[in-house]
Amino acid sequence: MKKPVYLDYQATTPTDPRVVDYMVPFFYEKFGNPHSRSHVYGWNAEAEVEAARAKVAAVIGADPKEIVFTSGATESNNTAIKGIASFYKDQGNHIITVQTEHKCVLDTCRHLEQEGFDVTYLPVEANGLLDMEKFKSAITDKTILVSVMAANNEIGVLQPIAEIGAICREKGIKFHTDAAQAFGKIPLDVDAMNIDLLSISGHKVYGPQGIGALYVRRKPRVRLNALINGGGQERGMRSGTLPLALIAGFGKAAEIAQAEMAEEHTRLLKLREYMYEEITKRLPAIILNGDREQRLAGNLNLSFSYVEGESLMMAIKELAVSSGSACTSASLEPSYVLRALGVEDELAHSSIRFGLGRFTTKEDVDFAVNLLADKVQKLREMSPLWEMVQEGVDLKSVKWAAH
Amino acid sequence: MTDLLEVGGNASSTHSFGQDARMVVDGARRQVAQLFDVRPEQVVFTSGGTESNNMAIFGALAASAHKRIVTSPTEHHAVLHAATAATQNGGRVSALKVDRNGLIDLTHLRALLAEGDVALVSVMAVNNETGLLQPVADIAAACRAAGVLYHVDAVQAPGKIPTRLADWGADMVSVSFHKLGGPKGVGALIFRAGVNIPAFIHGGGQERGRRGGTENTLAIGGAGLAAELAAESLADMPRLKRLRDTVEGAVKRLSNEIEIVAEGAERAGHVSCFILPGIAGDSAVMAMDMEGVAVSSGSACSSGRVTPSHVLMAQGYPEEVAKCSLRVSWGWNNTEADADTFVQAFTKVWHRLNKENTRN
Repeated sequence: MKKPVYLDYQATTPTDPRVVDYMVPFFYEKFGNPHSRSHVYGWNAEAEVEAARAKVAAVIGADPKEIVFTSGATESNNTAIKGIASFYKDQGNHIITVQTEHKCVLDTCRHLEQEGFDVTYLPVEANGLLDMEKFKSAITDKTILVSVMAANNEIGVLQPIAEIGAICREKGIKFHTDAAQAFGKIPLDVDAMNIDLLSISGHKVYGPQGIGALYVRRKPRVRLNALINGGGQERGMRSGTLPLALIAGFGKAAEIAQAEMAEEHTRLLKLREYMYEEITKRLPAIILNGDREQRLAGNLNLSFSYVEGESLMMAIKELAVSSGSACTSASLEPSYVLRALGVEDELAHSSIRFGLGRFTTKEDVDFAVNLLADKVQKLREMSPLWEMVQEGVDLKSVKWAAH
Repeated sequence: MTDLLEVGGNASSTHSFGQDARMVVDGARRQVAQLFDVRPEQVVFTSGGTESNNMAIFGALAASAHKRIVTSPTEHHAVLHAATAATQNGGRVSALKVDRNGLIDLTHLRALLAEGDVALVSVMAVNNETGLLQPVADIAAACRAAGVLYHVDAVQAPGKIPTRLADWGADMVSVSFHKLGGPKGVGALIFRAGVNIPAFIHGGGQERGRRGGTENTLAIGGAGLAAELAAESLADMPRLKRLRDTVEGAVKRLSNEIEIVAEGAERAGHVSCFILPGIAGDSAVMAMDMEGVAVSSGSACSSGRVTPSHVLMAQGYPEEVAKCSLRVSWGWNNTEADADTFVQAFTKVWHRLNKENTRN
């Protein structure tokens, strides 16, 4: 069977072949426990870990000492939010986050609510962006932590991180950003943006799965209680044997991302805009979810009105896409992110996230556009609602009879 | 595993890339389940043994009205430090008495359980520094009788001793796959059927809501294979035990001052912990490294610091003696030639360092 065209780069990215080639020797002749300080296997492993740490740090303008390796962005988010909450709980019990955050941030915050913390889940505007006035007025003298993601995983919108950072710094509130989707895709500078903690995922940036990092600011010093305790690795902030090969691969991925970010961004932006324009040229009644400008270059989230979501997904099986985030894609619930934007359930059901990335070609996009134009049109032809709309009926005025 | 680098999907995605990844994860889950003779749904993948230990300890406390954790002072730091961190808000840790071999005192365990307020007992299967085997089944029986959860840090067990969960009777078991030839960055927590604790890493609902985070497909695939190979390692154990015994015999013939920790107790066959009186463990390790032999002093995790082994200290060795240990472990790729190399190198090192000692 021919593989479908992969357009799900926000779920995970294929590991870059250059990363794979770089990683393989670390499983064989270059193995070693970077914590073994008394023999050459250990020393070489440690040198590689530190080189990777520097590569990751460079992407966000951090000092290598500020990078803590974790098993991925989910663990980083758990560590940052729980760790700050428990360390600074004497200074206050209020946390601010956003309704459209990744599930692991929201789940962690819900867990903290059970432990007695107050959490404000800020709404977003119809374009998916935070209203800064609403944000400012949510801050209280009990607020110890603000957690706002840099780029959304479903609709790709970029929150005003620098503005949020400036306000948090001024008020002495710790600022965490989940940058799983943003790292290596848009310029990030922890100093210029006043970021205190930043979560990174390896597999969203063409590195391996099972590895990520948490940036923890040293000046002014940010402290946290560790989530995973043990041998005291990563300066006590994250215990556990460091997975050398994964770290080496992650470092390589960061290095490539930094070198190629600008060029890749330009290419993907052009490709995405082309895709959006081609689809809307050929199909009426397409709604773009999330702001068009403040958005990841590789993300397009569209609602196809007057088609049924499940039928649409079935019809475009030749595309590997997702209707929401990967984590929730098995559930039939409409996306909570689209809901927060005010998208109606019916429309949310027929929404698709297209994720474009490093290996997406114009041919892939043309294939997707042609397939969508054909299938959506066919599905609409079968839809009585579409027929009514064509006849000029305002569906909102229709009074539906109960069965 | 290098084939798996091609899979690359997110195991939660419903499209075929995601489903390929899902198949890898499910296959590995079956292989790990087989190693413990449990059902696949009893296996939860984590990022490693340390996370598994933390998950079990924090989870048991969160799930229980009781506040106390009973553990042995010879446990790995991942258990000891997790227990300390988990109990810092109003709980406490009770240390079991151990003898000179590191064996826990079962009578003391029963007495602590009888005092009540125990949320969890955590005692490892195989000690990482000495190879000592704890009486897991007896501990499990005592815990079961008291209605207390029992967690086993079994990071050192697969491939070294049989690991059938039903024979152990434990409620939770931590595994780390790089200790059995698998990749680093993946572990598991095995649950007895019906045992449930709250999530430790919250997130996207992976692992049936028990552990958030995109599944680490590549490493999990490797973990599955490593679990399968553990059966072969177990079959290889008598050979390693013979290697070890040869080496221990040769070392003891060098000097009757050299002690082998837990020599008279039941030990796994792959490791020896030598005490070299008057010779600091790290000097011995360095000297051995110069002879081309990689060994360690204490456990690798704490070997960055020149601290005495907390395991040996807990067993009653004085601090200056606990600094003088040399850990030698054997794996599938070691041969009789390696054993000979070790003995020759060690003989040289022993004579040289001893001479330096007398000169000082």
